[in-house]
Amino acid sequence: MSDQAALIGGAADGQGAGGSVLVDPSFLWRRKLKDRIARVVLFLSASLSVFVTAAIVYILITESMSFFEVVSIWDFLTDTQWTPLFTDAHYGILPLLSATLMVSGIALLVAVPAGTVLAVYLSEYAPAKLREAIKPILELLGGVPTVVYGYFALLFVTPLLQKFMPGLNGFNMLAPGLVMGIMILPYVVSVSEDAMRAVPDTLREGAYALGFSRFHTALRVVIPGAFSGITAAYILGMSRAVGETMVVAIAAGQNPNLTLNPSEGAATMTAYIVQVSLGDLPHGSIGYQTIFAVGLTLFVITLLFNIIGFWLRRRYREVY
Amino acid sequence: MKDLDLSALIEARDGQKPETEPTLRANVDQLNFWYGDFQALKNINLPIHDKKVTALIGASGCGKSTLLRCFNRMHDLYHNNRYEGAITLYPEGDNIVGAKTDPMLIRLRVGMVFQKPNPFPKSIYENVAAGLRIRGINKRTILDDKVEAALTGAALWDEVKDRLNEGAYSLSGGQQQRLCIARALAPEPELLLLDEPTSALDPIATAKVEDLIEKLADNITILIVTHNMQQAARISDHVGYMHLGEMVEFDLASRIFVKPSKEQTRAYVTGRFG
Repeated sequence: MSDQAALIGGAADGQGAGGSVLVDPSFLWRRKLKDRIARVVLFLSASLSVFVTAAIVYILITESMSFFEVVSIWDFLTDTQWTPLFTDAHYGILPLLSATLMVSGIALLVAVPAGTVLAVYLSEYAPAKLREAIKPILELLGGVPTVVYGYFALLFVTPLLQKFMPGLNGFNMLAPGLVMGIMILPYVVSVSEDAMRAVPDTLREGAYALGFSRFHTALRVVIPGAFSGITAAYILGMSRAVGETMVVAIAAGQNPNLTLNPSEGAATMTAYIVQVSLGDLPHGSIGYQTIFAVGLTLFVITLLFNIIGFWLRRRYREVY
Repeated sequence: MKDLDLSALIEARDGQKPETEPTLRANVDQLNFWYGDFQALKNINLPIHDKKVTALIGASGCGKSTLLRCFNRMHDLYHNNRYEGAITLYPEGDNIVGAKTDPMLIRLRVGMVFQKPNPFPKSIYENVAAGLRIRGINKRTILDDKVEAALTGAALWDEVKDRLNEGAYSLSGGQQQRLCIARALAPEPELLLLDEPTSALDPIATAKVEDLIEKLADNITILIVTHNMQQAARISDHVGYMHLGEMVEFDLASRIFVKPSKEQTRAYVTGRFG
């Protein structure tokens, strides 16, 4: 105790004798300037991304406004046909919307169970070495260009499925749905595994100490503890599936089709946008404006998912 | 730190608790334990008397928590840990650390409360019911009774009886720790391990938990690790003093705190060391 006091006293004396080290005012001034420049640069880069996002939303909305001056929102949401380029034009989003939801739904049916099980395995069962080996491979799966997935769905999965399902169309929603499920799997696994690993070991120890098995620990403690993160993973997967373009444009066909039968082909919202963007519709025409209306719908859906995800996360966030 | 008036604490307590013929609930015999290459426990011998509080004291890193966690094979959760020797659990006489012993079955018999409250992300009720459900008890009426009994036993019932379905994280730290005690008590363990159960609590919550431990010892065997010498003196019947992985001295609390046989123990309990 007394040794310590002497040490502290000595240090204080030393400082008193030598004075402050930072006496050069130009050094202080330069330091402040650097700090200020860094702040401005960082602020500008941050505002740039906000500005670009705002600009995109602005254009989406203004172009859609001119569309909705011609077509009422009611017709847009309730008409069951989407034939904007026909002489008898109908502008009902339902066929495109239902195809988008159908394909995304199939994708989620693949990615949610498989992703959750894989995440539980990686987080709770796999030895560290195996986990470190599997995660990069999964991330590689996420790095495959989506156009490859599209051709994979059209030229491999569809013919394969046709062996078991003779009624399956060459363009159908089932194959791209399944392939898209594989495509979003890495996101679902990665985010939900992170959430599970964030559950503190003290909770696992508490469960094991009560006599829980590994499976029960995962099921009754880790998954509930990671619920908000796992939900976020599902929502992220859903957002990606809804916005995914190449797979559906290639393998689900370009024909708007209001059906609940996944063996038929149907154009999704994104596939329609590709189709029209590649065409030569004149700027300002109603056909041209449809893609902004569809784009806005897509944007609203994704936004809605994110809001739901945000809400769920706050609602079920656990403070350990 | 000044000399604690530990002898007064012991006297005040021993007046109420006459010594009875000792029976053993568990016995540690020549226990060695390794974290990988590091030997954390060296030739530990320690009797655990039935329905008594046995406290493990010693400086940080002395191995007292390591020893406690051998009793429910907590070390099995991590790789490269190795036991040697025996911890016999009576009356059956099973060796807890035996290679053929299923740690899960041991954990069904030995309960544990941790340093930091670690309730599950579930309701208050389901936290207490968790250990019962894992044992196949799912009948609502039985669960209701046992949950109430455990919460009453953990001196928490009156505070939570109207909010059993609220999340466990809505409770204060002290309440959460008593909830964890209730969770450990509900399956009626043969031995209850407490790993510094009050180190994360404020003095008032600590006093409540200490009162609780004293009461529990009427019916249950308790092994507690504590940093707090007064706490050990207040609540324990026997004390083991550990240093660098060895059991330096084991005796009645009254002897350890008043007249320890080893100079090293005396230095520690009087606060001149550690």
